[in-house]
Amino acid sequence: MKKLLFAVRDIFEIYVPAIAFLTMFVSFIMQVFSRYVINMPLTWTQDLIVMGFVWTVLFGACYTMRARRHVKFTMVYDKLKPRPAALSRLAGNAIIVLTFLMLIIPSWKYAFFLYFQKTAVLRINYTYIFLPFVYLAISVIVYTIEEMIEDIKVLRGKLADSRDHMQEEFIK
Amino acid sequence: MSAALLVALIIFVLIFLLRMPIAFGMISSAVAYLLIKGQDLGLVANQIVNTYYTNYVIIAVPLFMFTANVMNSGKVTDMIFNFSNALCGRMRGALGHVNILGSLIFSGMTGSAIADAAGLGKIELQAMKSNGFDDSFSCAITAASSTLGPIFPPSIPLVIYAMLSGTSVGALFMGGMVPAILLTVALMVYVAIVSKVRNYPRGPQFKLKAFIALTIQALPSLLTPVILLTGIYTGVMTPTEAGAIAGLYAILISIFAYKSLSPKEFWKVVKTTIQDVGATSIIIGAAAIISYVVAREDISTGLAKWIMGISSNKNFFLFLVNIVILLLGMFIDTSTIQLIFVPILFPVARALGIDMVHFGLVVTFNMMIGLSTPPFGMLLFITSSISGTPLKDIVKEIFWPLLAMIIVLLVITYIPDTVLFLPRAAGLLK
Repeated sequence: MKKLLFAVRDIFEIYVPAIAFLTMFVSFIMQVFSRYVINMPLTWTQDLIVMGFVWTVLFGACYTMRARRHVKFTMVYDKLKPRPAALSRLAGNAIIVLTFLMLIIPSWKYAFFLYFQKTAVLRINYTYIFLPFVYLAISVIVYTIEEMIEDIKVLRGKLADSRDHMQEEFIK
Repeated sequence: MSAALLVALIIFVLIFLLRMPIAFGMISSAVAYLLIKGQDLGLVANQIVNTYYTNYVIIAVPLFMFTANVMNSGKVTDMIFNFSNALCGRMRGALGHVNILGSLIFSGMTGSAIADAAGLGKIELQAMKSNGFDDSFSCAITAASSTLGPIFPPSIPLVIYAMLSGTSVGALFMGGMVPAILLTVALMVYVAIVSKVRNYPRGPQFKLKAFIALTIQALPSLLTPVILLTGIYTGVMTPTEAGAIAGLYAILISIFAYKSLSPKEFWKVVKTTIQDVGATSIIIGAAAIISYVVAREDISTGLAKWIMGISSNKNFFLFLVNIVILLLGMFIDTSTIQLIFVPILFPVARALGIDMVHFGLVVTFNMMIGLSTPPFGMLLFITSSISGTPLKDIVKEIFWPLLAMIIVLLVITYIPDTVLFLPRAAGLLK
């Protein structure tokens, strides 16, 4: 079960954005090639490009979340001792979890509100363009809770320091 | 100030105190505002996704990132380094100059300072270390020269600026050329002086035959900027399409000319790219929802009135902007400055009759200096972690390169023609 769940996660967070990116990339090349070499401008590439971009960003951001590579300002955090550091990150993460919990349903509703709008050429339903945002929200919540558990362990003395905090110290 | 705005502002400050991921923190700040104002939270998805969906020009950003990752994974970066090395030859402190020239060439293919420092920078730092340069000096010059990446076209920050301000990407790119050359000269002067004082080693002598061989080897890489820029300026491709073509070209030369980039490496490049895209673009989207708040509260107009009340002198305004961005750059991440603070300044800049291309180069150049200013300077962190040099040593050394950059900043601020001459001559601007 766990294995299956991880496989599904890889599909959404690695393969989908990778394919979306490559689709976008290839569409661009075809667009330029077809316009100048075959002299036949393509129109459908535009829809694929934009959709590919949206999917790359929204699903890719989940992968970035997993790799803990989102841009953060760590100057204050790094100066703190392990426990205050854990406490401060816990507080910030609590705000984020709360925010994204509140966003799930309105974003879902908004995506389906657009059900009858379609892209110009390929007639792709707008719902598919906005729905990945819901996945992003859920993914942010899950990965953030993972960090929170780590910080709670630090606060309860079960862990010496969270891995991000130690890592930052190492770099300096 | 409304209560909603106050709460949003508090959360915005907390982003920096509590180490929240900047993008998600911004979303939290905006959500708090919308909740208090009683607005539908569906607006968040709407604003964020529409940013990607309607701003065709920013699709260039992932493409330029991809290109940089391909170049750094294949042998392209090595070729540029070897070529610059041959070019500098017997000069005193040659590797310092190689560092700058290499970055200038590399910047013609990619548009990011981080990619430059992390890719080419790695090779440069290793070479300088084994040739007896001080580590702190090597790091400082690598950080400073990486700044060329986003100034010389193509440039990721300039693409984002184009999206925010509605200016032409082509004109911005062309406007960056002279400032990049000025920066190159300024940094080379700095290297020359330091090398003389500290007696840094000269480079090896290259025989003409070896020089030609290295040039031919590097030629496919050297052609990238030519293809890119000709494509954009002849109108054959949009800057976004040029990003894709550059990516394709990088793949082709890595495989066919340099026999590198296996399928496994390619997959790694794609995976790194989607992470990079996720990290950067999500901030762009999150900033859009903050901009919605800024617009609703009419902050720009308030600021415009306030500044115009103090002085309606163009030069004074630019001076003020430079000081503020330099200060912000010391503490805040570049993307936050660009996406949140810079757009607030647009109405004032327009009202004062400042050319938006000129303004774009000034603020972008300034923000890139921010990447090397302590205490929070991304390029300092990167060079420090690559070379294992303590941050405090680099901070001591970075002062002079920073001064050189600030001098160039002042020149481009107060002599607008340094920026505007080329785009005007090319007919891209009136």
